[in-house]
Amino acid sequence: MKLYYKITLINALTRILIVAAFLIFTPSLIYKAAVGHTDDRLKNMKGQIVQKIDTKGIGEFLQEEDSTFADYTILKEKFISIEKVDSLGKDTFVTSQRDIESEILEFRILKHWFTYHNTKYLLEIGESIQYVRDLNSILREIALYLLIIFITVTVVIDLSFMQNLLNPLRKIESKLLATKHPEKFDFRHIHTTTTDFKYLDQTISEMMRKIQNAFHIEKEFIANVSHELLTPISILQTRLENMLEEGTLNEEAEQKIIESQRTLGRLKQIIRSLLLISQIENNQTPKEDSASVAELLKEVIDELEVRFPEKNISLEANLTDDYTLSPCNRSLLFTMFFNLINNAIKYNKQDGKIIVSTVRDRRQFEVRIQDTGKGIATENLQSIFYRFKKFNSAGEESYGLGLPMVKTIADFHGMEIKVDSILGQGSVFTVVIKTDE
Amino acid sequence: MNVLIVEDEKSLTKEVQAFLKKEGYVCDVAYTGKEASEKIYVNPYDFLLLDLGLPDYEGLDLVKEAKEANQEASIIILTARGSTDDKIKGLDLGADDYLAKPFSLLELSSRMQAIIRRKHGLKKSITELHGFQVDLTNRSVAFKTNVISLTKKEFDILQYLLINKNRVITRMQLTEHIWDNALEVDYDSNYVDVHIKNLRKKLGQYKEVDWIETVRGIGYRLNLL
Repeated sequence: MKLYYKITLINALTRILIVAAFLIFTPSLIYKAAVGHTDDRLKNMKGQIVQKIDTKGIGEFLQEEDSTFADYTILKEKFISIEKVDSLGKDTFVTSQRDIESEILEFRILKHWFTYHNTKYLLEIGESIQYVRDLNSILREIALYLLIIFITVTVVIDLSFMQNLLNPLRKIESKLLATKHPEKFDFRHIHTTTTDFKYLDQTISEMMRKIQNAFHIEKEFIANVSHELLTPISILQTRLENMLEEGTLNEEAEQKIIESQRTLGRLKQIIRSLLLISQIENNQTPKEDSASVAELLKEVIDELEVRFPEKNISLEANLTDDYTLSPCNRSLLFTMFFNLINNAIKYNKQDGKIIVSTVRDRRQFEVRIQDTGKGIATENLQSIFYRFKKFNSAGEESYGLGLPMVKTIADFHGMEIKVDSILGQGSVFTVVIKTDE
Repeated sequence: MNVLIVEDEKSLTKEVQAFLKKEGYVCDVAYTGKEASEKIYVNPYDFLLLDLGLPDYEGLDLVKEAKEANQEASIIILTARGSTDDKIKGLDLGADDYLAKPFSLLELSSRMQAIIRRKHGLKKSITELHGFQVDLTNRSVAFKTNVISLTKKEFDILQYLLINKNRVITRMQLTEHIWDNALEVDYDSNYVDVHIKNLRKKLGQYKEVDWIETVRGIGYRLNLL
């Protein structure tokens, strides 16, 4: 989830919580306050009545023969009652429901016991607090609407404010997303007044500069190494060629020179391959072509056909499914498929078989190269793509760079290489090209 | 044919010079960019063999200068830098060919011959080869009225042997020639033997091909008087 939505969501949630608490607790607080206020009034009234009885006598309320007296105000919101009782108690406040003319009303009542002329009386003074309940439910309704409006308004304000506030972060994000390679990084600073974002932007830029620097050093190193290594080889190669051209050597010496040339050729091939791998890894090779996979495979097969008779190998090509790679580096892809199919020949058995097939799926395109060769032991499967690992090529001309090259080229094109192999039965190399992008 | 070799590595210059002299070229050398730059303005050359990795000079600048001062000269860039960028830039600036170090001397002279053929027009595009007609421009081979279909590699080999006729070409030299653009592929020199075998078979249907000679342990020679 985006930071922007997260912050807004948290803000909204805390507000809802506060509002909920408000809605839950205010009614009881209001109720408590109202009751306290009523109690004070009741106490006051009690004092007045007690004083009246003291000065004017109980007769004001109660005749000799009567045992109870009750009086309501016209609107029934207050009442006074006096009755004779057998025992005394302490002054208490109670809340109770009274049925008055078939209407249930909530009353707050002060009970006061007293003795008058040796007779015990209970005085009850009541006041309706029904209005508190009614008020509360109205208040709750109004508050609910107001708060819904409040939350909506603040969330909207939050969203637009956050959007502005987090805009620099989004810019940094899109800048990074657009940077497929450190070489392509946009160093222009992002305009912001938030120091955190400024710091982040600067730090990323600094890091990118360091990475670019490292890349440049590496590039220079590759260029220098290639010059330093290839120049002496050049001298040796031309010198050996000149020696052969002279034609003055005896046959034995000639043979030795030919062998030296072969060795030199090997050295040359290794260095060139290593350099190419480094160049690809450093993004120094172009990626501007467009190529049909089936066509490339046909070309590679045409190129390698001459080798089939050596081991009487039969090749089956199922290339009906095709996919156009763009952008790509055609000659690198040629090298990749060449190395894979060449391996399938090189490590195959006499009268072996090779199946090259293309399969188009909904989300991916696969090239499968299956052989009936020596296979690769499970414990070696992980390391076949490492440089200079070689397992079963005794007597073969291989320098252990064919598969690392394949892997590097596949990575360069965002492809995946999978290997399945059964020792002694053969291997299947699968190039997986994602097509859903 | 006057050739200026611009190369800071003296031993390499010596070998290239020795080889080209034997091939009949008149050679001059420059070990620094400055020296080369001066010589280009003074002397007319037919060929400039330019090393891009000179310590005192930006090699590509020399290509520009040479194009100004010595317009007749054909330029072949020799470099160990091996970056495709350089190659494209060099050719864009007007270089005629590009050869990555380490290169074979035979390959160098073949490229020079190809440039000469291209520049000075083809007096005869079709070469007579023991009854076969080899068209180097259209890359085809015929025997009388029959066109013989050769693969790209087979034709490359035949052409290379023909250009360097009466000379032993090693397997290594042939391999490097036909794989020039993809030297990094996992090739081995056994391919050459197979290609030669197929080439002999295809041509042999019409006439005996004893003029492609196998030189035991070394390579092949195309004999043509």
